[in-house]
Order: sequence, then structure tokens, then C-alpha cells
Amino acid sequence: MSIILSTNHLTKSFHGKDVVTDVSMSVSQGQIYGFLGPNGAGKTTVMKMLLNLVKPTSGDIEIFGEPLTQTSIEYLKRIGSIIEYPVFYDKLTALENLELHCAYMGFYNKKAIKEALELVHLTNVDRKAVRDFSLGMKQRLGIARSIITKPELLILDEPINGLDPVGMKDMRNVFSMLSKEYGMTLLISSHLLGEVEMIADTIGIIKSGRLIQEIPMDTIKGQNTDYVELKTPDYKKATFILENKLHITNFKVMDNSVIRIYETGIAQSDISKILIMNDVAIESINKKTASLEEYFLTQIEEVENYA
Amino acid sequence: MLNLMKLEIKKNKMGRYFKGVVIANLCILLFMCFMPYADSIEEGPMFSGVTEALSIVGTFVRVTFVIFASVLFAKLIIEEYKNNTISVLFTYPIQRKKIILAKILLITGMTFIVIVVSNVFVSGAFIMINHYLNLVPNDLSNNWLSQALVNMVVQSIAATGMSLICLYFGMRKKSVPTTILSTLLIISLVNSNSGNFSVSNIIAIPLTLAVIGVGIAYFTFRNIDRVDIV
Repeated sequence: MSIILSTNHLTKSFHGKDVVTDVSMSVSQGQIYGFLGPNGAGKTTVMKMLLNLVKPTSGDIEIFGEPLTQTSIEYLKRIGSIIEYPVFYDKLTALENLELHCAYMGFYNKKAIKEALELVHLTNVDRKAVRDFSLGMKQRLGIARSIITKPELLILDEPINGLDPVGMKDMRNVFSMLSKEYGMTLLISSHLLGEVEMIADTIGIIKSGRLIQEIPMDTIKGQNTDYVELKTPDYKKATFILENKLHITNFKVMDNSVIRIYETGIAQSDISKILIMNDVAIESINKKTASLEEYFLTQIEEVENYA
Repeated sequence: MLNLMKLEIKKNKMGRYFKGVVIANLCILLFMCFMPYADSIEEGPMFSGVTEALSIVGTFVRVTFVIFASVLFAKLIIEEYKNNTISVLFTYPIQRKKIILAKILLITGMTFIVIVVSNVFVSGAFIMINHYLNLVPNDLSNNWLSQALVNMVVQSIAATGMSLICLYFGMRKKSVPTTILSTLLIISLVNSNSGNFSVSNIIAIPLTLAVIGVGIAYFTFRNIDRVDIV
């Protein structure tokens, strides 16, 4: 897979204060790249730099194999985007807004507007002024606008913000479809980890303006994050048995009743058998997989501890 | 460029603007016809003759449509920044300079044409009405027309250029009220009439202000390609 977008030591400071520091990321063609980070981490600023709305203080950006300069504009024909929240000309109708978008993009295919609206399940509203739209509807319209021209690269900043659970699922399907059927590359920022987890191929985690990790989802899933969660009223005795009878050392007492056992070599049934034989009551015992959310939080915490 | 202007017209539903122009014209005409009546009650006639009346018409038309222009600047440029639609506009594969220039040319072009046409219309209508109703004495000399036309065109150019000054204040604050207020201030300073003397009568002054206006527009948007849109 070729690299469609890359940044090299990208830095941006506003009034002498670094907002984005030394970000080097790369997005391969056809991928869905999940861009994760807490609020104010610099996700939007990075995306604005990719769209040339904000000019980098230092560092380089390369998109479609061409270095970005202050006056690059041609590459924008091949990109669809939503930045921050979707803005429209409020007094115009949805249809008028989309027509304007097509005219400015130099794209003349009337059918595409209808298709895009159907894709995001936004029908029968094309004659309604956008100011009467709810945030969720605006979000859908924004996505529709960004995909009308079938761009090669979609840059979406918090595209599922403000959607209801059904809407989120719809959009997830739309994103997967765009990636699989049209071969589009998607760069999606979000703070909703669960959503990103379900569709992303690669994630980049940004914190305080620094890209702290860029990792394929497969690697995260493959990492040793499975554990057995044991709930017992008598955690002291339980830990004693775990250590001395089962020789398990890799466990962690979460609070005074929950123990997480990270050793995967021992079967769950063996653990419960030995515990019961030693008169330790078990409220519950489950095998669990750490979600991206936990992975994300550990990463963020590690950085915080380090700093 | 023409395409960009057409898109602006479509985007902002400029048809309504022309309705406003017609209404403003009729108001000015009506006002001009009533003024001689209102004033004759007090201390003598308001205008010494048609020449003076026409100069007043010119002032009214210029003031009205320079304010119109500032409203358009506020709507087409300042509001795009305020509503952040500019961040959408600048992600299109079109040079920022071109987008802004299209807006400025559209507004200044329209302002100039509207000032000239309104001047001709209101002056013409006033002369006709005066012909029948004899509101003020007719003191037009034989070659007044050519002189009046030249004067009108020069004044219109000056007024159009002056309308650009508001961009400086408007863009600094990204505020619609500031844009319109700055125009009101400038236009009232230049066109206020005290004892038949107005600064705008010395044609060099409005022309200088016009040059300043064009300069301001240039400097405000000179670096537009390098500016961050936050």
C-alpha cells in the first residue's frame, strides 16, 4: 500500500505556544485512519494544516506524493472534508448548499447530490433551510457534502459528534462502504473510542500536540491484553492462593474485590477450581479483552506519568 | 472570475438587493419633492435652483449606496469569517485571492453602476417633476448636461472607492456592526453639509479617500494566502 498522506516533524505554534509538536504521521491508501486524542490535543489543528487552512510553523506535509506549499490548491480537488463542525450557508436549503459546493469544486453531476443524500439517509429535506436542521442532520449533510465528489481522501473532524446511536451505526457503515467500495482513504478524528475501534485500520493517538503512538489496530488486538477478571469478597486470601498455589504473579488488584489476572497460560476453570477448594468465595469470574478505550487510557496515562 | 461572482449572487440571493435599490431610489425622489414644500414655510427656499437640488440628489444617492455597499461587504466578506463558512470556502481548489477579489469586484462594480443609474434616474425624474410643478426655479445652463455627467462619474468613482475603507475596520474586528458603523462615520464626515459647504465638494478629498480605500483593500488581503484560518 502506498502512502497517500504523510507529515514530517509537523509543528505549529500560536503566539509562541506550541499547539502541535513534531507530529510525523503517515496514512496509507485505502485505509481508515482513526485520529484519537482528548479535547484540545491538536487534532483539528493538524487537520487544518492538511487542508492548508493553517500554515505549519515548521515541518513538511506530503499529500498524494506532492509536498504541500502555502499556495497549494489543486490537491484540494481530491479531498473531501469536515472541520470542527459542519458549517453551511444557513439561509439556503440543503440542496442549494450542495449545489454551491459542487460549483466551487468544479464538479457537475446533478445525480451525485441525490446519491450522497441517500447515502447518509437524509431524504425529503433538500428544500428545507439548513438553519432549521438539528446538529445530527447537519452532521449528516456535512458528510454528504464531503463525499459528493467521490474524493480520494476524506478528512473528517469528529464526524459522528451529535449523532444518535442509530446515526452512528449508519455512518460507520457508510465509512466502511466508502473505504471498501470506492477505495477512499479516510482520516477520522474522534474522541469516541468505541466508534473508531470498530472501523479503523490504524490509529494515531495525539496528546498535548504530540503524536504518542501510531499503531495498526491488528497489533493492538494481537497484544497481550486478554485477562481474567475475578470478583471475590476475600481478595487477600485469593491473592495469596494465586501467588502460592497457582504461582501467578502477573495480576493486579483493581479495587478491594476485583482482581485481574493477566497470565493466559492457566485455564479459567483451573483458577476457579483451586480457589473454591481453598474456600475462597467467587462472585464472578470472566475472561475479558481490553478495549481500545483501555489501551488509549494507558497510553495517555503513561505519557502523563512520564511528563 | 465571472463564475465566482455569479456564485456569490446566487449564494446571497442578491435579487433582494435590487428591490432595496428601487425602494431607496423612490424614497430619495419623494424626499426631494417634499423638501422644497417643507422648507418654504420657514426661511425661504431650500434650494436656490435645480443645480443645487441636483447636487443634493447626488449626495443622497452616494451616501445611500455607499452604506448599501458596506452592508454587502459585511454580508459577503465579514459574515463569512464570522460564521466560519470561510473555512469551507478556502478548502475549495480556488485561490483565496481570487475568491476575495471576486467578492470585492462584484460589490464595487454593483455600487458604481447603482450610484450612476440612481443618479440619472432620480435627477431625471426630479427635473421632469419640476418642469410640471415648478418646485424650484430652473437655473440650468445650456451645457449643464455634459458637465453634470462628468462630475457624476467622478463622484461615483470616489464614493465607490471610499466604500472600501470599512473593510479595514471590519476585518480587524471581524464584526458586522463595525463595518457598517465605520462607513457611516466616514460618509457623514465627508458629506455633511454646513452652509452649502461640504468636504465632498472639493473633489480631491473624496478622490484621495477613494485611493486610500483601494489601498486598504489591497493591504487587508495582500497576505490572505499565508494567513491562518482559525
